[in-house]
Amino acid sequence: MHIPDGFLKTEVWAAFDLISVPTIGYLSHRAKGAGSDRQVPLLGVMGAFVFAAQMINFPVGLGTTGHLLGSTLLAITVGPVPAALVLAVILGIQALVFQDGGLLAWGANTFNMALCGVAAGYLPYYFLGSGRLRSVSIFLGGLLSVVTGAVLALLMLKVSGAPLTATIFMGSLTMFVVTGILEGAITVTVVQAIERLNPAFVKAPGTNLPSLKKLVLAAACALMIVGILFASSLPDGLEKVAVSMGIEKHKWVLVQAPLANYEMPVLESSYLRKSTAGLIGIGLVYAACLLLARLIRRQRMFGGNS
Amino acid sequence: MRHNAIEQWARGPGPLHGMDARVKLLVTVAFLIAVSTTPSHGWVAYIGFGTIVMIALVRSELPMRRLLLRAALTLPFALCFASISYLSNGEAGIALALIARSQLCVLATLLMVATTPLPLILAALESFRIPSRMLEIAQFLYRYLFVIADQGQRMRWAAASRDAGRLTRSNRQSLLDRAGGALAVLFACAYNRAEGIHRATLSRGGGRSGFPVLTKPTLGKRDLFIAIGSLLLFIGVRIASVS
Repeated sequence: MHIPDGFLKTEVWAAFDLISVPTIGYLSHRAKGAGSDRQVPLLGVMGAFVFAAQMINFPVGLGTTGHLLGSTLLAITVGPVPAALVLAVILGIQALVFQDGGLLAWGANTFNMALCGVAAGYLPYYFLGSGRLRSVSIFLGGLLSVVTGAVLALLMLKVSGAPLTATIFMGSLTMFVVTGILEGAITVTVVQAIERLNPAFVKAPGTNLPSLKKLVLAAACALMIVGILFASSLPDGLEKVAVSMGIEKHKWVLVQAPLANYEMPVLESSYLRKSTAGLIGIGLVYAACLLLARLIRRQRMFGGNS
Repeated sequence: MRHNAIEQWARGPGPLHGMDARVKLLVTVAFLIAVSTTPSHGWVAYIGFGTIVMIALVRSELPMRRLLLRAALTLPFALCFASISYLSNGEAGIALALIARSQLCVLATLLMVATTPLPLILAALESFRIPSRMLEIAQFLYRYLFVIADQGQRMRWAAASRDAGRLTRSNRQSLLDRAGGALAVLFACAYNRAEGIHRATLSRGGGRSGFPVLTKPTLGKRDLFIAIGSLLLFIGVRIASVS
Protein backbone atom coordinates (compact mmCIF):
# COMPACT_ATOMS: atom_id res chain seq x y z
CA MET A 1 0.00 0.00 0.00
CA HIS A 2 1.76 3.08 -1.28
CA ILE A 3 0.69 6.31 0.41
CA PRO A 4 0.59 9.22 -2.07
CA ASP A 5 1.49 12.79 -1.18
CA GLY A 6 -1.20 14.97 0.31
CA PHE A 7 -2.72 12.24 2.47
CA LEU A 8 -0.48 12.45 5.51
CA LYS A 9 -0.34 15.18 8.11
CA THR A 10 2.82 17.27 8.06
CA GLU A 11 3.99 15.85 11.40
CA VAL A 12 3.56 12.31 10.12
CA TRP A 13 5.43 12.48 6.82
CA ALA A 14 8.10 14.71 8.28
CA ALA A 15 8.68 12.37 11.23
CA PHE A 16 8.95 9.29 9.03
CA ASP A 17 11.25 11.06 6.58
CA LEU A 18 13.34 11.87 9.65
CA ILE A 19 13.41 8.19 10.59
CA SER A 20 13.87 6.66 7.16
CA VAL A 21 16.43 8.95 5.53
CA PRO A 22 19.14 8.51 8.19
CA THR A 23 18.36 4.80 8.64
CA ILE A 24 18.69 4.05 4.92
CA GLY A 25 21.77 6.28 4.78
CA TYR A 26 23.33 4.35 7.66
CA LEU A 27 22.44 0.97 6.15
CA SER A 28 23.90 1.91 2.78
CA HIS A 29 27.04 3.21 4.47
CA ARG A 30 27.31 -0.01 6.43
CA ALA A 31 26.80 -2.16 3.33
CA LYS A 32 29.77 -0.43 1.71
CA GLY A 33 32.81 -2.60 1.98
CA ALA A 34 34.00 -5.96 0.78
CA GLY A 35 32.38 -7.13 -2.43
CA SER A 36 30.47 -3.90 -2.95
CA ASP A 37 31.52 -3.60 -6.63
CA ARG A 38 29.82 -6.88 -7.21
CA GLN A 39 26.81 -6.08 -5.09
CA VAL A 40 25.69 -2.82 -6.68
CA PRO A 41 24.74 -4.33 -10.06
CA LEU A 42 23.28 -7.38 -8.30
CA LEU A 43 21.00 -5.27 -6.13
CA GLY A 44 20.00 -3.07 -9.06
CA VAL A 45 19.10 -6.01 -11.28
CA MET A 46 17.32 -7.77 -8.40
CA GLY A 47 15.25 -4.61 -7.92
CA ALA A 48 14.39 -4.75 -11.61
CA PHE A 49 13.46 -8.41 -11.14
CA VAL A 50 11.05 -7.53 -8.32
CA PHE A 51 9.46 -4.88 -10.55
CA ALA A 52 9.09 -7.43 -13.37
CA ALA A 53 7.86 -10.16 -11.03
CA GLN A 54 5.03 -7.90 -9.91
CA MET A 55 3.68 -8.08 -13.46
CA ILE A 56 3.48 -11.89 -13.53
CA ASN A 57 0.10 -13.06 -12.34
CA PHE A 58 -0.36 -16.23 -10.36
CA PRO A 59 -3.54 -18.27 -10.41
CA VAL A 60 -4.69 -18.59 -6.82
CA GLY A 61 -8.02 -20.29 -7.26
CA LEU A 62 -11.58 -18.98 -7.51
CA GLY A 63 -10.67 -17.34 -10.78
CA THR A 64 -8.51 -14.71 -9.14
CA THR A 65 -4.83 -14.01 -9.58
CA GLY A 66 -2.22 -12.53 -7.33
CA HIS A 67 1.33 -11.41 -7.83
CA LEU A 68 4.54 -11.42 -5.88
CA LEU A 69 5.41 -8.32 -3.87
CA GLY A 70 8.86 -9.64 -3.18
CA SER A 71 10.23 -8.19 0.06
CA THR A 72 10.56 -11.58 1.77
CA LEU A 73 11.99 -13.21 -1.36
CA LEU A 74 14.59 -10.43 -1.61
CA ALA A 75 15.47 -10.68 2.09
CA ILE A 76 16.03 -14.43 1.81
CA THR A 77 18.07 -14.25 -1.39
CA VAL A 78 20.24 -11.15 -1.00
CA GLY A 79 20.03 -10.64 2.78
CA PRO A 80 17.77 -8.39 4.84
CA VAL A 81 19.87 -5.21 4.82
CA PRO A 82 20.46 -5.16 1.03
CA ALA A 83 16.78 -6.05 0.55
CA ALA A 84 15.76 -2.99 2.58
CA LEU A 85 18.04 -0.81 0.44
CA VAL A 86 16.65 -2.21 -2.81
CA LEU A 87 13.07 -1.72 -1.65
CA ALA A 88 13.83 1.86 -0.60
CA VAL A 89 15.18 2.50 -4.11
CA ILE A 90 12.17 0.81 -5.69
CA LEU A 91 9.86 3.04 -3.65
CA GLY A 92 11.79 6.09 -4.83
CA ILE A 93 11.54 5.10 -8.48
CA GLN A 94 7.87 4.22 -8.09
CA ALA A 95 7.22 7.65 -6.60
CA LEU A 96 9.15 9.45 -9.32
CA VAL A 97 8.36 7.53 -12.49
CA PHE A 98 5.23 5.47 -11.85
CA GLN A 99 3.14 7.85 -9.69
CA ASP A 100 2.92 5.07 -7.12
CA GLY A 101 3.35 6.64 -3.69
CA GLY A 102 4.47 10.16 -2.90
CA LEU A 103 7.85 11.84 -2.81
CA LEU A 104 7.36 13.42 0.61
CA ALA A 105 5.65 10.22 1.75
CA TRP A 106 8.75 8.26 0.70
CA GLY A 107 9.94 8.14 4.30
CA ALA A 108 6.61 6.77 5.49
CA ASN A 109 6.39 4.19 2.70
CA THR A 110 10.01 3.19 3.22
CA PHE A 111 9.42 2.78 6.95
CA ASN A 112 6.35 0.60 6.30
CA MET A 113 7.61 -1.60 3.52
CA ALA A 114 11.39 -1.42 3.28
CA LEU A 115 12.28 -1.28 6.98
CA CYS A 116 9.43 -2.85 8.96
CA GLY A 117 8.13 -4.95 6.06
CA VAL A 118 11.51 -6.56 5.44
CA ALA A 119 12.18 -7.00 9.16
CA ALA A 120 8.80 -8.67 9.69
CA GLY A 121 9.27 -10.78 6.57
CA TYR A 122 12.73 -11.93 7.62
CA LEU A 123 12.20 -12.61 11.33
CA PRO A 124 10.36 -15.96 10.96
CA TYR A 125 13.03 -17.16 8.54
CA TYR A 126 15.74 -15.98 10.94
CA PHE A 127 14.33 -18.02 13.81
CA LEU A 128 12.89 -21.06 12.02
CA GLY A 129 14.64 -20.97 8.66
CA SER A 130 17.13 -23.73 9.34
CA GLY A 131 14.80 -26.24 10.98
CA ARG A 132 11.95 -28.44 9.85
CA LEU A 133 9.58 -25.49 9.71
CA ARG A 134 11.53 -23.81 6.93
CA SER A 135 8.65 -23.58 4.44
CA VAL A 136 6.29 -22.45 7.19
CA SER A 137 8.71 -19.71 8.17
CA ILE A 138 8.97 -18.45 4.58
CA PHE A 139 5.19 -18.48 4.28
CA LEU A 140 4.83 -16.60 7.58
CA GLY A 141 7.43 -14.11 6.40
CA GLY A 142 5.48 -13.33 3.24
CA LEU A 143 2.27 -12.95 5.21
CA LEU A 144 3.81 -10.79 7.93
CA SER A 145 5.63 -8.48 5.52
CA VAL A 146 2.37 -7.59 3.76
CA VAL A 147 0.26 -7.28 6.91
CA THR A 148 2.89 -5.22 8.78
CA GLY A 149 3.25 -2.76 5.91
CA ALA A 150 -0.49 -2.44 5.49
CA VAL A 151 -1.29 -2.02 9.19
CA LEU A 152 1.40 0.66 9.54
CA ALA A 153 0.08 2.49 6.47
CA LEU A 154 -3.49 2.37 7.79
CA LEU A 155 -2.33 3.64 11.19
CA MET A 156 -0.45 6.51 9.56
CA LEU A 157 -3.53 7.47 7.57
CA LYS A 158 -5.62 7.18 10.72
CA VAL A 159 -3.30 9.46 12.69
CA SER A 160 -3.41 11.90 9.77
CA GLY A 161 -7.15 12.21 10.24
CA ALA A 162 -8.43 9.79 7.62
CA PRO A 163 -11.85 8.64 8.84
CA LEU A 164 -10.94 4.97 9.08
CA THR A 165 -13.67 3.56 11.28
CA ALA A 166 -13.34 0.14 12.83
CA THR A 167 -15.40 -1.38 10.01
CA ILE A 168 -13.22 0.05 7.27
CA PHE A 169 -10.09 -0.80 9.21
CA MET A 170 -11.10 -4.43 9.69
CA GLY A 171 -12.33 -4.68 6.11
CA SER A 172 -9.08 -3.42 4.66
CA LEU A 173 -7.15 -5.59 7.08
CA THR A 174 -9.02 -8.71 5.92
CA MET A 175 -8.16 -7.82 2.35
CA PHE A 176 -4.49 -7.40 3.23
CA VAL A 177 -4.42 -10.69 5.17
CA VAL A 178 -5.68 -12.43 2.02
CA THR A 179 -2.99 -10.64 -0.03
CA GLY A 180 -0.46 -11.68 2.61
CA ILE A 181 -1.48 -15.34 2.44
CA LEU A 182 -1.04 -15.21 -1.33
CA GLU A 183 2.34 -13.55 -0.92
CA GLY A 184 3.37 -16.27 1.51
CA ALA A 185 2.27 -19.09 -0.81
CA ILE A 186 3.93 -17.54 -3.87
CA THR A 187 7.15 -16.83 -1.97
CA VAL A 188 7.38 -20.45 -0.79
CA THR A 189 6.80 -21.75 -4.33
CA VAL A 190 9.38 -19.42 -5.84
CA VAL A 191 12.00 -20.11 -3.16
CA GLN A 192 11.60 -23.86 -3.69
CA ALA A 193 11.93 -23.45 -7.46
CA ILE A 194 14.98 -21.20 -7.06
CA GLU A 195 16.62 -23.77 -4.80
CA ARG A 196 16.06 -26.49 -7.39
CA LEU A 197 17.96 -24.30 -9.88
CA ASN A 198 20.82 -23.37 -7.60
CA PRO A 199 20.81 -23.79 -3.80
CA ALA A 200 23.43 -21.04 -3.50
CA PHE A 201 20.84 -18.40 -4.48
CA VAL A 202 19.17 -18.72 -1.08
CA LYS A 203 21.11 -17.41 1.91
CA ALA A 204 21.17 -19.28 5.20
CA PRO A 205 19.32 -17.42 7.97
CA GLY A 206 21.33 -14.90 9.94
CA THR A 207 23.99 -14.05 7.38
CA ASN A 208 25.04 -10.42 7.13
CA LEU A 209 22.87 -9.04 9.91
CA PRO A 210 23.64 -5.92 11.94
CA SER A 211 24.44 -6.66 15.59
CA LEU A 212 21.57 -7.10 17.99
CA LYS A 213 22.62 -4.06 20.03
CA LYS A 214 22.36 -1.78 17.02
CA LEU A 215 19.02 -3.25 16.01
CA VAL A 216 17.61 -2.66 19.49
CA LEU A 217 18.99 0.88 19.50
CA ALA A 218 17.47 1.63 16.10
CA ALA A 219 14.12 0.17 17.12
CA ALA A 220 14.17 2.23 20.32
CA CYS A 221 14.90 5.44 18.38
CA ALA A 222 12.13 4.71 15.91
CA LEU A 223 9.67 3.93 18.71
CA MET A 224 10.63 7.14 20.49
CA ILE A 225 10.01 9.28 17.42
CA VAL A 226 6.72 7.52 16.72
CA GLY A 227 5.76 7.96 20.37
CA ILE A 228 6.51 11.67 20.35
CA LEU A 229 4.58 11.99 17.13
CA PHE A 230 1.53 10.23 18.49
CA ALA A 231 1.66 12.15 21.73
CA SER A 232 1.88 15.50 20.00
CA SER A 233 -0.70 14.98 17.32
CA LEU A 234 -3.15 12.87 19.29
CA PRO A 235 -3.20 13.74 22.98
CA ASP A 236 -6.01 11.24 23.39
CA GLY A 237 -4.60 8.65 21.05
CA LEU A 238 -5.46 5.56 23.05
CA GLU A 239 -8.88 6.84 23.89
CA LYS A 240 -9.54 7.48 20.22
CA VAL A 241 -8.48 4.00 19.25
CA ALA A 242 -10.75 2.54 21.90
CA VAL A 243 -13.63 4.67 20.68
CA SER A 244 -13.12 3.74 17.06
CA MET A 245 -12.79 0.07 17.90
CA GLY A 246 -16.39 -0.26 18.95
CA ILE A 247 -16.87 1.19 22.41
CA GLU A 248 -18.30 4.26 20.79
CA LYS A 249 -20.98 2.24 19.03
CA HIS A 250 -22.35 0.75 22.21
CA LYS A 251 -22.44 4.09 23.93
CA TRP A 252 -24.17 5.58 20.97
CA VAL A 253 -26.85 2.92 20.76
CA LEU A 254 -27.63 3.26 24.46
CA VAL A 255 -27.99 7.00 24.33
CA GLN A 256 -29.47 7.40 20.94
CA ALA A 257 -32.01 4.61 20.68
CA PRO A 258 -34.70 6.21 22.82
CA LEU A 259 -34.29 9.45 20.91
CA ALA A 260 -34.70 7.97 17.45
CA ASN A 261 -37.55 9.78 15.79
CA TYR A 262 -39.85 8.42 13.18
CA GLU A 263 -39.43 11.04 10.54
CA MET A 264 -36.04 10.44 9.00
CA PRO A 265 -34.24 7.97 11.24
CA VAL A 266 -32.01 6.80 8.41
CA LEU A 267 -30.55 10.19 7.66
CA GLU A 268 -30.50 11.38 11.24
CA SER A 269 -28.69 8.38 12.62
CA SER A 270 -25.00 8.98 12.52
CA TYR A 271 -24.42 5.33 13.42
CA LEU A 272 -26.22 4.17 10.29
CA ARG A 273 -24.47 6.80 8.22
CA LYS A 274 -21.18 5.66 9.63
CA SER A 275 -21.78 1.99 9.00
CA THR A 276 -23.02 2.64 5.47
CA ALA A 277 -19.93 4.75 5.00
CA GLY A 278 -17.94 1.81 6.26
CA LEU A 279 -19.49 -0.63 3.85
CA ILE A 280 -19.25 1.73 0.90
CA GLY A 281 -15.72 2.48 2.00
CA ILE A 282 -14.69 -1.17 1.90
CA GLY A 283 -16.20 -1.54 -1.54
CA LEU A 284 -14.50 1.62 -2.76
CA VAL A 285 -11.14 0.67 -1.31
CA TYR A 286 -11.40 -2.72 -2.94
CA ALA A 287 -12.52 -1.32 -6.29
CA ALA A 288 -9.88 1.38 -6.18
CA CYS A 289 -7.15 -1.14 -5.44
CA LEU A 290 -8.26 -3.41 -8.27
CA LEU A 291 -8.57 -0.54 -10.72
CA LEU A 292 -5.28 0.97 -9.68
CA ALA A 293 -3.43 -2.32 -9.93
CA ARG A 294 -4.84 -2.92 -13.39
CA LEU A 295 -4.08 0.62 -14.57
CA ILE A 296 -0.56 0.58 -13.22
CA ARG A 297 0.18 -2.81 -14.67
CA ARG A 298 -1.10 -1.65 -18.05
CA GLN A 299 0.88 1.53 -17.73
CA ARG A 300 4.04 -0.41 -16.99
CA MET A 301 3.50 -2.85 -19.81
CA PHE A 302 2.66 -0.38 -22.52
CA GLY A 303 4.72 2.52 -21.27
CA GLY A 304 1.75 4.83 -20.92
CA ASN A 305 1.13 4.98 -24.65
CA SER A 306 -2.22 3.30 -24.45
CA MET B 1 7.36 -3.60 -24.20
CA ARG B 2 7.75 -0.06 -25.31
CA HIS B 3 9.93 2.26 -23.35
CA ASN B 4 8.38 4.36 -20.67
CA ALA B 5 6.65 7.45 -22.07
CA ILE B 6 8.20 9.66 -19.39
CA GLU B 7 11.63 8.76 -20.69
CA GLN B 8 10.70 10.16 -24.11
CA TRP B 9 9.11 13.29 -22.67
CA ALA B 10 12.15 13.93 -20.49
CA ARG B 11 14.37 14.27 -23.54
CA GLY B 12 12.18 16.89 -25.21
CA PRO B 13 13.19 20.40 -26.20
CA GLY B 14 10.90 22.45 -23.90
CA PRO B 15 12.03 25.43 -21.83
CA LEU B 16 11.72 23.53 -18.57
CA HIS B 17 13.93 20.75 -19.91
CA GLY B 18 16.92 23.08 -20.12
CA MET B 19 16.78 24.13 -16.50
CA ASP B 20 19.29 22.83 -13.99
CA ALA B 21 18.06 19.56 -12.48
CA ARG B 22 19.06 20.68 -8.96
CA VAL B 23 16.88 23.76 -9.27
CA LYS B 24 13.95 21.72 -10.56
CA LEU B 25 14.31 19.21 -7.74
CA LEU B 26 14.48 21.92 -5.06
CA VAL B 27 11.54 23.84 -6.49
CA THR B 28 9.46 20.65 -6.74
CA VAL B 29 10.17 19.64 -3.15
CA ALA B 30 9.41 23.18 -1.97
CA PHE B 31 6.13 23.05 -3.87
CA LEU B 32 5.23 19.66 -2.39
CA ILE B 33 5.95 20.92 1.13
CA ALA B 34 3.94 24.08 0.54
CA VAL B 35 0.95 22.10 -0.76
CA SER B 36 1.16 19.35 1.86
CA THR B 37 1.19 21.82 4.74
CA THR B 38 -1.77 23.84 3.46
CA PRO B 39 -4.79 23.35 5.74
CA SER B 40 -8.01 21.98 4.28
CA HIS B 41 -9.78 25.33 4.36
CA GLY B 42 -7.02 27.21 2.54
CA TRP B 43 -8.92 27.54 -0.72
CA VAL B 44 -7.04 30.58 -1.93
CA ALA B 45 -3.80 28.66 -1.69
CA TYR B 46 -5.12 25.63 -3.58
CA ILE B 47 -6.34 27.82 -6.43
CA GLY B 48 -3.01 29.64 -6.43
CA PHE B 49 -0.98 26.41 -6.50
CA GLY B 50 -3.24 25.01 -9.20
CA THR B 51 -2.64 28.07 -11.35
CA ILE B 52 1.12 27.76 -10.86
CA VAL B 53 1.11 24.10 -11.91
CA MET B 54 -1.11 24.81 -14.91
CA ILE B 55 1.14 27.64 -16.11
CA ALA B 56 4.18 25.39 -15.75
CA LEU B 57 2.36 22.60 -17.60
CA VAL B 58 1.46 24.82 -20.52
CA ARG B 59 4.95 26.28 -20.65
CA SER B 60 6.59 22.83 -20.53
CA GLU B 61 5.40 21.88 -24.06
CA LEU B 62 4.58 18.37 -22.87
CA PRO B 63 1.61 16.38 -24.23
CA MET B 64 -0.95 17.88 -21.86
CA ARG B 65 -3.73 15.32 -22.19
CA ARG B 66 -1.52 12.29 -21.66
CA LEU B 67 0.26 13.93 -18.75
CA LEU B 68 -3.06 14.71 -17.06
CA LEU B 69 -4.26 11.15 -17.70
CA ARG B 70 -1.15 9.81 -16.12
CA ALA B 71 -1.57 12.03 -13.09
CA ALA B 72 -5.15 10.77 -12.82
CA LEU B 73 -3.76 7.32 -11.97
CA THR B 74 -3.74 8.32 -8.31
CA LEU B 75 -7.26 9.70 -8.53
CA PRO B 76 -9.10 6.46 -7.60
CA PHE B 77 -7.21 6.25 -4.31
CA ALA B 78 -7.84 9.92 -3.52
CA LEU B 79 -11.49 9.74 -4.59
CA CYS B 80 -12.11 6.73 -2.41
CA PHE B 81 -10.59 8.33 0.68
CA ALA B 82 -12.37 11.59 -0.06
CA SER B 83 -15.74 9.87 -0.37
CA ILE B 84 -15.23 7.95 2.87
CA SER B 85 -14.29 11.23 4.50
CA TYR B 86 -17.36 12.98 3.11
CA LEU B 87 -19.72 10.16 4.06
CA SER B 88 -18.44 9.91 7.59
CA ASN B 89 -18.21 13.54 8.60
CA GLY B 90 -20.25 15.27 5.93
CA GLU B 91 -17.71 18.00 5.23
CA ALA B 92 -17.17 18.39 1.51
CA GLY B 93 -14.34 20.89 2.04
CA ILE B 94 -12.00 18.39 3.64
CA ALA B 95 -12.72 15.78 0.97
CA LEU B 96 -12.14 18.21 -1.90
CA ALA B 97 -8.96 19.53 -0.28
CA LEU B 98 -7.62 15.96 -0.07
CA ILE B 99 -8.22 15.42 -3.80
CA ALA B 100 -6.73 18.83 -4.62
CA ARG B 101 -3.63 18.21 -2.49
CA SER B 102 -2.88 14.79 -3.92
CA GLN B 103 -3.47 15.88 -7.53
CA LEU B 104 -1.29 18.98 -7.13
CA CYS B 105 1.52 16.90 -5.66
CA VAL B 106 1.32 14.25 -8.37
CA LEU B 107 1.26 16.87 -11.14
CA ALA B 108 4.25 18.70 -9.71
CA THR B 109 6.29 15.49 -9.36
CA LEU B 110 5.28 14.37 -12.84
CA LEU B 111 6.21 17.73 -14.33
CA MET B 112 9.67 17.50 -12.79
CA VAL B 113 10.26 13.90 -13.87
CA ALA B 114 8.83 14.44 -17.37
CA THR B 115 11.23 17.31 -18.04
CA THR B 116 14.37 15.75 -16.51
CA PRO B 117 16.03 12.51 -17.64
CA LEU B 118 16.60 10.14 -14.70
CA PRO B 119 20.43 10.29 -14.90
CA LEU B 120 20.22 14.05 -14.37
CA ILE B 121 17.90 13.59 -11.40
CA LEU B 122 20.34 11.07 -9.93
CA ALA B 123 23.28 13.42 -10.51
CA ALA B 124 21.30 16.21 -8.81
CA LEU B 125 20.51 13.92 -5.88
CA GLU B 126 24.19 13.05 -5.66
CA SER B 127 25.08 16.71 -5.33
CA PHE B 128 22.60 16.84 -2.42
CA ARG B 129 24.67 14.15 -0.66
CA ILE B 130 22.28 11.26 -1.15
CA PRO B 131 24.49 8.14 -0.73
CA SER B 132 25.96 7.36 -4.15
CA ARG B 133 25.50 3.67 -3.52
CA MET B 134 21.73 4.07 -3.45
CA LEU B 135 21.83 6.13 -6.62
CA GLU B 136 23.95 3.54 -8.40
CA ILE B 137 21.46 0.84 -7.41
CA ALA B 138 18.69 3.09 -8.72
CA GLN B 139 20.55 3.58 -11.97
CA PHE B 140 21.02 -0.16 -12.53
CA LEU B 141 17.47 -0.84 -11.47
CA TYR B 142 16.01 1.63 -13.94
CA ARG B 143 18.30 0.54 -16.75
CA TYR B 144 17.42 -3.15 -16.41
CA LEU B 145 13.80 -2.68 -15.43
CA PHE B 146 12.59 -2.78 -19.02
CA VAL B 147 15.01 -5.54 -20.03
CA ILE B 148 13.85 -7.91 -17.28
CA ALA B 149 10.20 -6.98 -17.67
CA ASP B 150 10.53 -7.71 -21.41
CA GLN B 151 11.98 -11.08 -20.59
CA GLY B 152 9.11 -11.80 -18.21
CA GLN B 153 6.64 -10.83 -20.91
CA ARG B 154 8.30 -13.18 -23.42
CA MET B 155 8.18 -16.00 -20.90
CA ARG B 156 4.48 -15.41 -20.44
CA TRP B 157 3.94 -15.61 -24.18
CA ALA B 158 6.00 -18.76 -24.36
CA ALA B 159 3.97 -20.36 -21.58
CA ALA B 160 0.72 -19.32 -23.24
CA SER B 161 1.74 -20.85 -26.58
CA ARG B 162 2.86 -24.09 -24.89
CA ASP B 163 -0.49 -24.43 -23.13
CA ALA B 164 -2.39 -23.21 -26.19
CA GLY B 165 -5.23 -22.35 -23.85
CA ARG B 166 -6.00 -26.03 -23.26
CA LEU B 167 -5.83 -26.12 -19.50
CA THR B 168 -7.95 -28.80 -17.95
CA ARG B 169 -9.00 -29.07 -14.36
CA SER B 170 -6.48 -31.80 -13.68
CA ASN B 171 -3.38 -29.87 -14.64
CA ARG B 172 -4.65 -26.66 -13.10
CA GLN B 173 -3.22 -27.96 -9.82
CA SER B 174 0.31 -27.43 -11.05
CA LEU B 175 -0.31 -23.86 -12.26
CA LEU B 176 1.14 -22.34 -9.10
CA ASP B 177 4.25 -24.50 -9.42
CA ARG B 178 4.65 -23.61 -13.06
CA ALA B 179 4.34 -19.87 -12.43
CA GLY B 180 6.75 -20.28 -9.53
CA GLY B 181 9.18 -22.04 -11.84
CA ALA B 182 8.90 -19.24 -14.39
CA LEU B 183 9.69 -16.67 -11.73
CA ALA B 184 12.64 -18.74 -10.55
CA VAL B 185 14.02 -18.85 -14.11
CA LEU B 186 13.57 -15.10 -14.37
CA PHE B 187 15.36 -14.74 -11.05
CA ALA B 188 18.28 -16.87 -12.24
CA CYS B 189 18.48 -14.88 -15.50
CA ALA B 190 18.56 -11.61 -13.55
CA TYR B 191 21.24 -13.01 -11.26
CA ASN B 192 23.40 -14.10 -14.19
CA ARG B 193 22.93 -10.76 -15.86
CA ALA B 194 24.21 -9.02 -12.72
CA GLU B 195 27.26 -11.30 -12.72
CA GLY B 196 27.77 -10.44 -16.38
CA ILE B 197 27.65 -6.72 -15.64
CA HIS B 198 30.21 -7.20 -12.89
CA ARG B 199 32.53 -9.17 -15.17
CA ALA B 200 32.23 -6.50 -17.88
CA THR B 201 33.04 -3.77 -15.37
CA LEU B 202 36.06 -5.73 -14.13
CA SER B 203 37.31 -6.26 -17.69
CA ARG B 204 37.08 -2.53 -18.35
CA GLY B 205 39.26 -1.88 -15.33
CA GLY B 206 36.51 -1.34 -12.74
CA GLY B 207 35.28 1.85 -11.19
CA ARG B 208 31.94 3.54 -11.66
CA SER B 209 31.10 5.30 -14.85
CA GLY B 210 28.92 7.98 -13.27
CA PHE B 211 25.47 8.91 -14.49
CA PRO B 212 25.63 9.17 -18.27
CA VAL B 213 24.11 12.36 -19.63
CA LEU B 214 24.56 13.97 -23.02
CA THR B 215 24.68 17.57 -21.88
CA LYS B 216 25.10 18.62 -18.28
CA PRO B 217 23.19 21.83 -17.70
CA THR B 218 25.00 24.41 -15.65
CA LEU B 219 23.51 26.60 -12.97
CA GLY B 220 22.81 29.89 -14.75
CA LYS B 221 21.47 33.23 -13.59
CA ARG B 222 18.10 32.39 -15.10
CA ASP B 223 17.86 29.19 -13.04
CA LEU B 224 18.73 31.01 -9.82
CA PHE B 225 16.20 33.70 -10.64
CA ILE B 226 13.49 31.09 -11.28
CA ALA B 227 14.41 29.20 -8.11
CA ILE B 228 14.27 32.23 -5.82
CA GLY B 229 11.20 33.59 -7.60
CA SER B 230 9.22 30.39 -7.29
CA LEU B 231 10.23 29.85 -3.66
CA LEU B 232 8.99 33.35 -2.81
CA LEU B 233 5.83 32.69 -4.82
CA PHE B 234 5.13 29.43 -2.95
CA ILE B 235 5.66 31.13 0.41
CA GLY B 236 3.38 33.96 -0.67
CA VAL B 237 0.57 31.67 -1.80
CA ARG B 238 0.95 29.53 1.30
CA ILE B 239 0.70 32.57 3.59
CA ALA B 240 -2.34 33.78 1.67
CA SER B 241 -4.22 30.71 2.87
CA VAL B 242 -3.59 31.58 6.52
CA SER B 243 -5.12 35.02 6.48
